[in-house]
Amino acid sequence: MRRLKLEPWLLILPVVVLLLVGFVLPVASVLLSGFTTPGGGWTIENFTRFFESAFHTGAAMRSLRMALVQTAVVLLISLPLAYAMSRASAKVQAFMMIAIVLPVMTSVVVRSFGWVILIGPAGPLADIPGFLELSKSRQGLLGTELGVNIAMVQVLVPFAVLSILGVLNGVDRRLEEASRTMGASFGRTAWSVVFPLAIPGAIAGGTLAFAMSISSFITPNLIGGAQIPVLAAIIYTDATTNLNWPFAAAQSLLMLIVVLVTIGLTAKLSARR
Amino acid sequence: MAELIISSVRKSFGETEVLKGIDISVPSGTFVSLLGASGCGKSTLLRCIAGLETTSGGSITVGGQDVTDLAPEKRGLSMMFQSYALFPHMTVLDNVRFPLRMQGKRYGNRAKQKELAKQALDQVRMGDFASRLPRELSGGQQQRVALARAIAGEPRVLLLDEPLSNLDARLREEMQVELIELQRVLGLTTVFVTHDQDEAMSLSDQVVLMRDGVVEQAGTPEELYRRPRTPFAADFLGAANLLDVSVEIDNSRATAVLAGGDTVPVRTSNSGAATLVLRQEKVRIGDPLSTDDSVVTATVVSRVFRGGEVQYLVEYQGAMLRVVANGESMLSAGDQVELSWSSSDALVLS
Amino acid sequence: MKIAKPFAAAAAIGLALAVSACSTTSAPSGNSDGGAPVELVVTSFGGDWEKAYIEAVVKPFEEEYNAKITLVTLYSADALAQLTAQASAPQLDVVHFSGGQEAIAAAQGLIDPVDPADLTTFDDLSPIATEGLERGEGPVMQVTPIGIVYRSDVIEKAPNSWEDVFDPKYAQHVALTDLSNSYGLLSLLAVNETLGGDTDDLEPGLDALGDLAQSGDAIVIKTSADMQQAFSARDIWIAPYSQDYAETLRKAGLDVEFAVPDEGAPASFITANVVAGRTNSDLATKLVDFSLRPEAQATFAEAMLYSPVNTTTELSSDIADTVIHGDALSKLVRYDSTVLNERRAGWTDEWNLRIAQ
Repeated sequence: MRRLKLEPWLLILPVVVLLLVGFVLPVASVLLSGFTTPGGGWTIENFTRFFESAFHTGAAMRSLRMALVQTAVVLLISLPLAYAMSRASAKVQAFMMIAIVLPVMTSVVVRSFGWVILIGPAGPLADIPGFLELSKSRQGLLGTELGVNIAMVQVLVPFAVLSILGVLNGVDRRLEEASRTMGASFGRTAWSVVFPLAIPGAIAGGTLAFAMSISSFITPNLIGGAQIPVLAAIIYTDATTNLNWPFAAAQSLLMLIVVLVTIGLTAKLSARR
Repeated sequence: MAELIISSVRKSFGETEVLKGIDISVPSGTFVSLLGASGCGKSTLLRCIAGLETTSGGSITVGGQDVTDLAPEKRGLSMMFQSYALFPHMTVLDNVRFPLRMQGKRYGNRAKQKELAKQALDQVRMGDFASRLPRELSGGQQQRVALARAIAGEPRVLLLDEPLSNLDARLREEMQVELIELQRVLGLTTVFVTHDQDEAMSLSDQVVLMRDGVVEQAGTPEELYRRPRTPFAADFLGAANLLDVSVEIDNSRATAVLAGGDTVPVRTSNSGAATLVLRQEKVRIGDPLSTDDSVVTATVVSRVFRGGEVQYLVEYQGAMLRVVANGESMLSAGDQVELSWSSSDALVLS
Repeated sequence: MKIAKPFAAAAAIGLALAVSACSTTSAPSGNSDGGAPVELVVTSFGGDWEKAYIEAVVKPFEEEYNAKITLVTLYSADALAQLTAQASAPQLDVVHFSGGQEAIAAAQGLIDPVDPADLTTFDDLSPIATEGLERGEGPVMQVTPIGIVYRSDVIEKAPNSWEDVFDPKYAQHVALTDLSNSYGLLSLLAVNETLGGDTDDLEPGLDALGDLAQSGDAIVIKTSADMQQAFSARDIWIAPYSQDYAETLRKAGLDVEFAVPDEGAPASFITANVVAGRTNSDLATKLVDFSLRPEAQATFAEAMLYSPVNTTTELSSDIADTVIHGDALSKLVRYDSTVLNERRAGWTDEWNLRIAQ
């Protein structure tokens, strides 16, 4: 009997150890170093410096705002897209799956550079009158939040689509048929029956998109540049250029708190359903 | 309620023709069953009526209105599925209110819709479960809710796709009674798809027997049972024994020659190869009641005791026949028995 | 800078992930003639710089000393981050810095002092190359002035002042460099001094350049790769930047020239440093010495217009006018790295706030 009770624990032991050694310990140590001075003592100075710096709090608010906008747009695109995929024939679905997953396999740097060319002053869109004026420097969408948002949405959509698709593939098609026979049009069926059932997937996908968005710095750097500073990029600079690890750690901790609170809220939201 | 007329409806999936020209007319307020084995096209036909499949030819009219090319939501029908298809994210009441909500103004405001939905629930005795979620109900309860939902929107035609097949035998019988009662009370034009001939016969005003995408035979349950037009119909609609015979007509007296050379009188005007249909309950084991009866000798193969009766499987000249005797019959395998039947109960299909 | 001991190791793991650097392990082996070549791991800035370095140093050195040199592309800041992270078990032998990081590395004992006696080239070196040795820094290997890079096809008259970047004619065609890049810092300091400031008062420079970026008349880029893109695809005509990179752009087919403003120019001093705590530091020192030889210096000058620090270097006539050398070299401003490193974080915060849209 004892053995029986022990076995489940033995099974998850490797994962727990891996998680502890590979994730929890290093992350916790880095985060704890946010409370240290460069000399080694304990302090909360890194946090007060953050909240006193207009630049840092401004960038944090910008990151949060952009992450929310991106998540909303990602969901608006992903829900119908995932729905179309889930109801397409197996062949079409496989094709769409490849089309969606393929970009994920290419480097974010490469994809972001693609956007730099596309939405920059030498790109095809620059011929549209007024396009270059979208940024103060006549750089098209380069150096604008809108430009970063567009590129980030493209990066994030696959993740949201996949998590929503997983849920929608499990939704019985008879539900939609029943709805149609009871007087609901295709649109109302999608709105009243399909999308409510896709909410768990949308919450998972949205949370993932939010967390990825707020912690990304490559795309914001390449498209937004120095003039659209986001928190993740600042942390990267503080850690690598300024070599102020405790300060970078403190900011990482604040970012982690925001992400954890978001996950907590969404988890609560989905549990209520 | 409305009359449903299906004429020359065809449906192909790619190369495969699933419906090969179906004509059925369902008078207003009647209960019609589409009966057949799986793959005969009965479910496809139902889906064509509902508008969930487009037809490849022919027309469907409901109450005089051609609905062949209408979207499902514009046909004014409702359909109940084998899996019930209750919306898992809505309460029982909201499920039943759904068709009312989708039809908008016709059913008044939210409060009025709820009241009507509640009434529909009461009709299937599920009023107490209004605020539950479907997953909190048993299969039978879900089934009643699905029924309430299907009738709540006052459909012109109610379509039922094997709704009872997921229930256990006892619950099924109970539901059959309730279903038929509800249908009669509301006067619903109903199309019921089933593969179970007992269910079809006990519920329906009309039974449409389908086979390979065509209507094999249509009529009242009695007609189909008593006067099947084909061996398939005879076999499908009741445990019938089929024997290959050749019919000889002499002086307008028809005689069927059985495999063993036995000859029995039959009623037919066609000579040549034919099928002799003998329903199991019409065949007696043992002494014939009348001298006019046909009598052959067969061998008992097996015996199954069923309480009030005993079912025997007997062999006659290589053909296996099912025969029923009363509960006291104690024959055993290998016994030679005499089978007899009245010539008026023997049906010949050529 | 020190990191609290208990967390240092774990922090290193975390940062190593973030920095995404590739490290190569070298087998500590016995030495020299006839045996297996000894491996040295050396940082590179990649691109044309790497080509020139392979040509001038790697190939001849490998032959002469039976060594095997592995190049790892690491920009100065990343290289310092990696040195710090690997403090207890360094994986690099020679590290090149272009942004004054050697001062920090020396102060923290991450690099070994180079003994003048170990440098065969010592007597021929310009004083600017060796002044850091007593502070424990490696010798300066290459010098490239920071001036004004401009598109010669759209700007006819060569700019001659730092103030030319504010010329309204060039509005919306100016690229500035972020302070996370040391060329950006040096440009800012030069502009600041032209406008009357100094390292104690950065306001004039911050104000002027901040306004330029804020108004949209200038864009702000971060890396050298961004700069190439700015000139090739973003319609940029003029930017304060380094001469070596101007040469890279020219070689890439862009119509750009480099001008040294009349007010004078700071320069980026690229140092070659021997990493502390490695088994082959003798050979590493020889590598550093090798890169200071006149032949290597000439190759650097030919390829990237680097100013030679070895006074015996002979320059071909077609670059002799372009490359700053000889006495002119001592006119290039070298800021005190310690001061810059100390104030950089504060300046960066200020700068970031001024340019953010």
